[in-house]
Amino acid sequence: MLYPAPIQDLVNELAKLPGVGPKTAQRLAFFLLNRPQGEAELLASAIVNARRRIRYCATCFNFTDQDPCVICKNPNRDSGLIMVVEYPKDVVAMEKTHEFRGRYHVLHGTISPMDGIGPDEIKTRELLARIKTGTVRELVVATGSSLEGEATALYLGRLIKPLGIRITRIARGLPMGGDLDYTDEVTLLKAFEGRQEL
Amino acid sequence: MWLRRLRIRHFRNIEDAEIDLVRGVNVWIGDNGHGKTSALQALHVLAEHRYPPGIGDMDVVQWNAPWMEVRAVMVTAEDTEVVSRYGVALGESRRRVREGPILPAVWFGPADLSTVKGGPGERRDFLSQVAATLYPRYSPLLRRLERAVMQKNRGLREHWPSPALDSFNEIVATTGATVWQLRKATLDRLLPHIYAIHRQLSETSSLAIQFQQGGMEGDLVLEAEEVRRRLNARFGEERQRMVSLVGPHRDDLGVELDQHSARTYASQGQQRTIALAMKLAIYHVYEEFFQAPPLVMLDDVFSELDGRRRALILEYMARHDQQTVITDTEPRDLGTCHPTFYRVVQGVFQPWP
Ligand SMILES: [Zn+2]
Repeated sequence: MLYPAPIQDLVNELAKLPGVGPKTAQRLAFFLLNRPQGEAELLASAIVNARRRIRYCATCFNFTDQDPCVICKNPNRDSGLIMVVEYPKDVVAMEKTHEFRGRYHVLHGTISPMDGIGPDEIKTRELLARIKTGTVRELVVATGSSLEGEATALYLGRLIKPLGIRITRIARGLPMGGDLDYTDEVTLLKAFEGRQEL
Repeated sequence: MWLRRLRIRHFRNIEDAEIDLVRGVNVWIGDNGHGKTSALQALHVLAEHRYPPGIGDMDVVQWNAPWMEVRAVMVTAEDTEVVSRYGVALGESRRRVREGPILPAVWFGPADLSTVKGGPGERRDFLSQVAATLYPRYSPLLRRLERAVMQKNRGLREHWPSPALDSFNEIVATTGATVWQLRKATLDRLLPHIYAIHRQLSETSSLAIQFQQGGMEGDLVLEAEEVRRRLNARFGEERQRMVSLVGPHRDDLGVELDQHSARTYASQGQQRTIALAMKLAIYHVYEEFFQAPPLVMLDDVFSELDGRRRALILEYMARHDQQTVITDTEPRDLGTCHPTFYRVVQGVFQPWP
């Protein structure tokens, strides 16, 4: 049976979300239709607002509603110490430890020939430009322990070591294929403290 | 350690089967296609928490079911009982359950001959199976290496520049060195047993097996720094030919009988003897390493064994603490063993007689 067009449209859009198959999309659609009108409108406007107001911070490329972002703007954060992460969610994970006093650089991905993602498809050129401004003392590479995360770390090592700044890699205590945002705060802190020269 | 009370659900063509296992010889009799080999595969998954070579999640879950599960009661060396379980649920996100200790298992099947007769991939599988059971870090390392080679090959085909591609080459070097070390260590454990068993079965011919490192010449290179140097030395050539030429993904075992390649020159009977010696050697390595006899599985092999080779296998089965499971199309004389029979019809197991 085919649904009326508005329902079908909603199902189709939901099914485009990562990890959502056609069955889950249907379930979500019917859930939304059974809630009060106001709730659906709140959700819709939250999506529109976020999309309209959120952009990349021009310095660290984290998501932000003000440029520069709160971390880049904060004078108490060490601008000489930069942690390189794959995604904005990794920044959130690290911030939860309340221990890291440096700033971030978000790559938005890892290099992967099979996915057609080379260094220029992630924010590596921007990282290089940032380093050349001269205030950076140490770069902590905190990409994940997946094959691609590791390859990206090695790549950054080759790229940046000749520039004469310290470059370190967070410790391999993280589980195989482990992501920063799945790792608890204590483990994350140990990984940071146990970082080694790349 | 041994297993009793096996339960198999939604595995290949088996809907739901309960089979009592004894600590001796178990024989499952049935026509082909009725589920006895499936049940043996299920038992392998349960014992080693790993599939036999060549099958994966998508092959084992019954076609109309969303999940499969195999469980049994494992009786430990201290005579305590623990539940052992392996399950997979398919669907939008795949979930896996592994419970209980691993029980090393040795599988004998009609495909064993391909270790001698088949291509290099079959001999790599032979080594990998044993290495994965002996060294828990082997399987994840091999998966990482295989992915690194795939990434590197794609980069080579698409002429990726340095240094982005170099970092994948570097990972092939570091994981490759460790895979090579573990494969070599595994072969060193196996070789004395392979030779001894082969001599027992064939006094006249001499067998020699050599580890051939993929894309390397001369003596074995196992030290990580040297492996990296050798890989880098051929990186230019790899770029030109747009494919990875060096690494464990190209390994092979050189198997020679009286100085001639067994793959090309040995008779079918001689090849069978070598394949059997290689399999029985696994038994001894596991027994030494784990200080207990492994579970033995024989999938439809008796019809192809001659008297001497059959007698040798029977000797192992007759050991007092040995658990063996056999599939066959008909009951046959198993010498001094006292087997417990099950009859398998359309995926249903029934004690027999
Ligand atoms: Zn920022």
